[in-house]
Amino acid sequence: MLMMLLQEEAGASSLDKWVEVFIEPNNLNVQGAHETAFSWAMTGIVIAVLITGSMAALKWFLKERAALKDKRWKLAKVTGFMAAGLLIAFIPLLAIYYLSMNFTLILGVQGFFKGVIFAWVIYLLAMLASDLIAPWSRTDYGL
Amino acid sequence: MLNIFIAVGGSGTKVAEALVRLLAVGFPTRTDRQGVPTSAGDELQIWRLDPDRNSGAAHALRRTVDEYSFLQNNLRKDNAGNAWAMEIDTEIRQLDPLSLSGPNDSTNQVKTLGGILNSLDRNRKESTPFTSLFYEPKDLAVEIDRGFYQKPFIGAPIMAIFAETLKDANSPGGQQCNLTFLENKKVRFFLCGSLHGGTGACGVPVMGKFLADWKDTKPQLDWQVGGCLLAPYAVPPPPPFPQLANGQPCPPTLVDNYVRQFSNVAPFNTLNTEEEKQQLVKQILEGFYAHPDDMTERARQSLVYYKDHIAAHFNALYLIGKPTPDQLPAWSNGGASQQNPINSAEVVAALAALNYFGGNHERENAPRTYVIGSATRTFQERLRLSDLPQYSVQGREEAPEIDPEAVLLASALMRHLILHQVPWEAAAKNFPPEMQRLKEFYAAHPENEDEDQYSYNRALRVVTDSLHALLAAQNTTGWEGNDHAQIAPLLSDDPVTIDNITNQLKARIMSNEARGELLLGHSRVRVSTKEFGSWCPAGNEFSRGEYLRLIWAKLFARVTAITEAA
Repeated sequence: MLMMLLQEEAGASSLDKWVEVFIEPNNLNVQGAHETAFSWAMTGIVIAVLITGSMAALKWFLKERAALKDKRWKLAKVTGFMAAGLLIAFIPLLAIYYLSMNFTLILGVQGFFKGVIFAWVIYLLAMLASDLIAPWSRTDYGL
Repeated sequence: MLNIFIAVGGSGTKVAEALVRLLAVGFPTRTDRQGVPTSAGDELQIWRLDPDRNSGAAHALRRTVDEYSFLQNNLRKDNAGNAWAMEIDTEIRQLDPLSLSGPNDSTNQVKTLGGILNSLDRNRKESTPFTSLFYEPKDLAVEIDRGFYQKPFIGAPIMAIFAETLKDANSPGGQQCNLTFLENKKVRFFLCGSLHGGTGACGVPVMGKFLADWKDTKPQLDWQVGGCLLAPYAVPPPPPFPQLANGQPCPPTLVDNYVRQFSNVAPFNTLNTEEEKQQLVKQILEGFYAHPDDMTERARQSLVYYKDHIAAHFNALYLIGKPTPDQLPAWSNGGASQQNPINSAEVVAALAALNYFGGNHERENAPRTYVIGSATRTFQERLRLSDLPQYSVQGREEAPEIDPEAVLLASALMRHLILHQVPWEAAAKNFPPEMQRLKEFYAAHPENEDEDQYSYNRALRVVTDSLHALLAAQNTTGWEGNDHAQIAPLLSDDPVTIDNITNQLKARIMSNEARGELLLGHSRVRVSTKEFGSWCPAGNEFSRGEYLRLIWAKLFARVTAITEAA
């Protein structure tokens, strides 16, 4: 039982330490700052997953309605499409950030951008994984 | 099955050209083991019975056969059969009725009726006392190495002598035909020529009777003899100057005057020597050319002759004509300058040949009947594809009806799909999942990837050229014109046109059904690129020809007629 408590303590502290990345340094000791940063990180993950799902669905739709010769996308088109997803992800993140007083006050501008980059990384990895799994996208990479 | 098309005279040669074009486009003559309509597996020889070896029609036929050979070579696999269409022997056998065997080199050298009949070979005596009863001196003296100038009574004795020489395997004609070799084969002969011309009108009955007689003397032969007679379907314009009144002499000064006056006018400007020009002037002045007014009467007389003496020798006999003959663009009297465009009636005659090669010999069971191809009720002066007669082909499966309009639509769409919808610019491993079977084929044969794109391009260029040659206004006469306008986009390489067609061919979302349909006359087809991508012959050992034939057959099966209610 003691061991489990110690592990829980250690786990909680490493997560707390990680979410501190999003908190403005001056607000590290503000009550609830860690919970706010955690929420911001979760927001980033949720937005990234939603945008990945939407972009993958859009990609399937575009390929479904394309002629055979247009079904394979060139690398430039794949990159452009992913970049559009980055932009699309930025908009809800910005909106959510400004709609929540906690985010603006505790995370600061620096925390906002770190959250955006975090969401983008998640989005890019998820998008890449989805492309490699889906047969209609895999050919874009010559696989 | 060996099919032998005997093109008699200029009209027959143009029909042979149309036939080769139709075969290049994909017209079938049978169904294969899988029930796919095809002509692959059959063979075709072309014999040309015409004294005019240098005619424009002969040159056009030579070019067309060469193009067909090019098409075959690009579709075959490892020198095996190409599986797209029937094999055509590239050697066109020239049966020149003036090339007669004689005891020495000096006989039969004067290429006139009098010269041939008086050659004193074949143990004959001088024939002038006899022939002068039936022929005018000018008929006996006119040069006939450019044909018989619409005068079958001049050609008939020559043809009869020539047919006799065919019995001798060492004669020039006998060597070309090699009938003894053919006795061991199952052969369908098909003779084609005009009813109203010179060479056709005398050549078809003589050759038809000769082959039938040969067959009758050897009952074991598996030969069929069919024929197609073309009634007047095109009339030439009048010659540059009128003929002399009957019996009026033809003075050399008058001939020289006309030569000077018309030396630079077609067809005189295509002749090389002064003597040839003088000959042509003389032919016109003496009336040795096609008289449009006489054609119908001559055709009527020929038909009576067929009915009484010849028709019974044929297993199938087709008669083709037009209510109003089309006007030919230029006057010519044979030779290389006579370059008439393909007429829609010649395409109909070629379809008759396909019907015959398809195993339809209706007269075998009813010898007193004729195959009368009737036009549709919409047919007026100019033919549309929907007016063309349908024909049937035999095979293991139930004989399907072949609608020429549907064949042409399927072929043009096949050409578009292969050239513009297969993602050739990508490596085959990157083809979309819809083309999985083709991907597997190229995975097994990676060496074919580049070669196939190149070969399909070259082969389908011949298909495109053939479609234009059969239908385009600048290459043909007698078509209404709208059909070519409708099919032309499918033969285009223009990016905007390709995009427009691509939009019609795209599949609906979550469906295989195409968004739009493509039309040609009274036919339509709805097919998506998604469906096309999944079509591929079974296994990994098929030729380009087999792939094309499968795509064509799938498309052909999809073509439906537009009903009036729709």
